[in-house]
Amino acid sequence: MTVCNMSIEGGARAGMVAPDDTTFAYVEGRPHAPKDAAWERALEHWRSLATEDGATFDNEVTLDATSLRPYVSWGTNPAQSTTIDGSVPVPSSPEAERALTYMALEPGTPIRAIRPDTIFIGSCTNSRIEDLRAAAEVVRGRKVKDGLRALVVPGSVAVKLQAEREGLHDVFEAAGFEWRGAGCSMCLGMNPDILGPGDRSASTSNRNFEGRQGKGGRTHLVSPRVAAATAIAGHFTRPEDL
Amino acid sequence: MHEVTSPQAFDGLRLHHRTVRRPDLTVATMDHNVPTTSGPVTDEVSARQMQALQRNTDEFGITVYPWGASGQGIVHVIGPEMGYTQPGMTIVCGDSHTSTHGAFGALALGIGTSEVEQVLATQTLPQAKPKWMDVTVDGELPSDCSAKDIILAIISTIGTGGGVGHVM
Repeated sequence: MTVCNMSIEGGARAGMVAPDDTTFAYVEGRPHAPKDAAWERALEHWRSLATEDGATFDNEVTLDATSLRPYVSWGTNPAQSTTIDGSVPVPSSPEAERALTYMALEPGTPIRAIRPDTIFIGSCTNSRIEDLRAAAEVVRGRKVKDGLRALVVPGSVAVKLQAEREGLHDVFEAAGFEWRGAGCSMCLGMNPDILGPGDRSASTSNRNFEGRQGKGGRTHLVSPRVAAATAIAGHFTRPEDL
Repeated sequence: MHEVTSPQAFDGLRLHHRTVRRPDLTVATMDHNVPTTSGPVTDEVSARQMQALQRNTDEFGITVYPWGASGQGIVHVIGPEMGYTQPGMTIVCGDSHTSTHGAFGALALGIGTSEVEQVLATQTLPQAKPKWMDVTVDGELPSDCSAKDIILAIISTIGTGGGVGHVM
């Protein structure tokens, strides 16, 4: 869901993954999922939805997963990202230059040296129970760095209730996070949860455009684990480095 | 649907004396404007849009999950979690990140408000045939990486315009 959610940030009209047993297991038993005989019929149909052998594509991209590192965006679009081990690049275009000016970043600054003042764990990209579990595992028994504002916003009332059944809200609150109600929250600057001018966030959301999280706000896109670890350290980091 | 991109669509229906063709295939929630605290909603526009969604869904017989109610949440979170989102479906919503539902093998498209009105009235939407982009992620993901890192890596590789015209 996270991958398809942001497929459109690469310009795509839509993103799609062929459904498999993991998908079917997720859907089964949910309130509006087909039941009994209808479920069996649906499964038979759904199993036919995989990519055909010999299917051709207009474009093909291959990524080696084993070489991936945690990503952090440095600019004002999601493609302006590098790995946690990287540095703010020397701008190679007027757009990149403008992005660095807006983000108030110097080329060559190690990503790990950047210090956000706000942590946002939420949005349609990363606010499901799995995201909250991953973040809670990182913050369990630790404290949010002094002076940081840190929010956890479940994606739905159901996610919130499930997290509370698992005691995740206690983990977050004990660490110094605010535990909020369900909504889009700080992803988009359309409700009371916004960045102020010059505020800098580590955010699990999907867009880092100028002003996206509030006028003058500076957004760095990261995963829930990196957002959680960054809340503890006060600068961008991985849980493994805490 | 959600409260921000739907009011004009309902106004359009009323203006042309149209009904919602398939209220049984339509579902609404409040997500963009809602406070994540106990409230109240102090922003006037937000309050108006939330009230409008409640009124419009009541009038046209559409299920709605109002702020704070059981089932409420971000439209792209509640669709999958309640089993509304299923493989093989065609799903549209007046929101860019509707693509989320594609994770289930559904064709899920973000649309504009005038298209929302068209879908409400007709349950159809003309679309140009997209190009197809095949993305293969090979091998085991390192334990410190997640789905977010995969998609940020893909976008960094193809650029923000790399997928234009494609279903990925």
